[in-house]
Amino acid sequence: MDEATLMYLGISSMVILLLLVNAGTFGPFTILLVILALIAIIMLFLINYADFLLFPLLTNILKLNIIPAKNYYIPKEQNCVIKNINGIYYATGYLTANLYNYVFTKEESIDDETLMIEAPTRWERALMSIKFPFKYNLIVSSQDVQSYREELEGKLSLLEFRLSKEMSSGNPSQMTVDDLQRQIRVIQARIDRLSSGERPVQSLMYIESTAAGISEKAAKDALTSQLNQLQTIMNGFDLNIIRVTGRELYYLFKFNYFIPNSNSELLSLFGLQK
Amino acid sequence: MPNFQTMIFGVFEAIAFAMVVLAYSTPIYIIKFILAIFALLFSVLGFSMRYYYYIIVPFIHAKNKSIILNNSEAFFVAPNGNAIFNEENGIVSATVFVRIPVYSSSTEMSDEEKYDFSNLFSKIVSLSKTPIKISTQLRILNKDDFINKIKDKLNEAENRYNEILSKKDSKPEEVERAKGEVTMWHNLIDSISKIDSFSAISYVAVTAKGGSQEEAINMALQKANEVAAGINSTYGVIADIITTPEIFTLLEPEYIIPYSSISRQISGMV
Repeated sequence: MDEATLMYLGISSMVILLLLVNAGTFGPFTILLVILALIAIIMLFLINYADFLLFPLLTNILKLNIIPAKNYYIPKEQNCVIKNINGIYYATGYLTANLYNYVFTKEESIDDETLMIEAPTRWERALMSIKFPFKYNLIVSSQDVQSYREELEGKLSLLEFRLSKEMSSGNPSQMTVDDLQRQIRVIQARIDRLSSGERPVQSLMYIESTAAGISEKAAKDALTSQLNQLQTIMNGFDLNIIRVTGRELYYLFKFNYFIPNSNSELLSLFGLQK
Repeated sequence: MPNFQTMIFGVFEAIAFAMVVLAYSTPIYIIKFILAIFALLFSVLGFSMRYYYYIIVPFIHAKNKSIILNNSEAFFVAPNGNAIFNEENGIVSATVFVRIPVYSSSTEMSDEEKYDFSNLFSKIVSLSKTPIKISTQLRILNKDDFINKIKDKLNEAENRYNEILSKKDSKPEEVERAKGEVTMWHNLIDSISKIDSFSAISYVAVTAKGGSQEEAINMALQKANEVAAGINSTYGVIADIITTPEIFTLLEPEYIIPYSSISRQISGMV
């Protein structure tokens, strides 16, 4: 959670806590108020972590379309952007392409060389097996090597201190020692990669595909079929592929034309995976 | 943080706090409870402005079940055709697209070359400190012009065949050759028209913002030239800026899927 979200959550929670603390003064409505306050707290967390479920639910119930630009609209399901030109419906949908967490916790870089040799062939094979329009997008910016290295070295020192403290205690826990050693290897592997010339980057990967049909339903069905095929094909790339719905769909539509100008703008729109 | 977002959040939370204060100051339980419900509602609404501030005003003005975020075109093309731009809240954003002209296949590469290729791509990825978008797009080729040229060739071949047939002293091998040519163009049209052909392009998109159209476009072009220089030095190729009409093939769905391929699908269904 970034600082802005924490601030928003903190202030919103204060209102709810103020009511909860003095709930007893509401007489016969105390229990009902407590239940509603707990529901409000759950809503705050749902909006923060699962608004991709809430927002489409709301637009579905209210049957609301969103118009992000002329000739385009996002239907009530919030899962694609549709353009209607000359009686033909073009539906564009998006898939996230997030790396799995285990990719970030690799302890050694030996396997990297094999992966890098296989990468071009695997990519070409994937491209050849796709028989419809699609676009693979990577929004990326490089980070300062020195500050990133200092951050890693700070974490490494802390872990080494904790390890030596555990080892020198009277009864060191083998599980704690193993876990600390594993974390040290992960950090060391990242430092080694920086030393070999790699630069740290912040990236956002997503895949989009477009389908056409003579009706809205035909276009949407064709799009769903295409996105399902892409999920199958791209699953072999250590990527967590999920269909994008809700507000993130609107931002990815905008990124087709204009991308954020700064890292902070990008981070304010999407969560960070480290 | 955008000012409007902070302002609308502040308004909702201020109303929520005011409701809490009013709820505490009133002795009547039912009014306290109703005020508390409003306080909870405004508190949740206020938090939702963290992500949905852009939709609140259009939602209030929604008509016919449509929330209009933007009623104008998604983009406008720069006068030179080498960039797109749009204005929002007084700020102009401009994007330039730089082609990555690398046309090699991994089937032609040794393991060492594949490793080097992957290494080069990671250098491209870390090219810029501000966000850039690296994309690979597969789109359906518009083969109408090509098919029309083949049809012209077919017509010429058929005319020649008819001419040869109408001559009394035509040699059998001349007739066979002319007939073979007609068959060849027929088969070519059939095979090209039957399936979709695809075109792949890799490119980098860079965006810049400015107070005016010229400023934003110039800044975007400057960033694009830096990126192009990086691509040139990394891959040893000459990266160029994509201009109209090719720029539409990156942005508009009707260029990504040409009308001719859809009409083929429809006639196949009928």
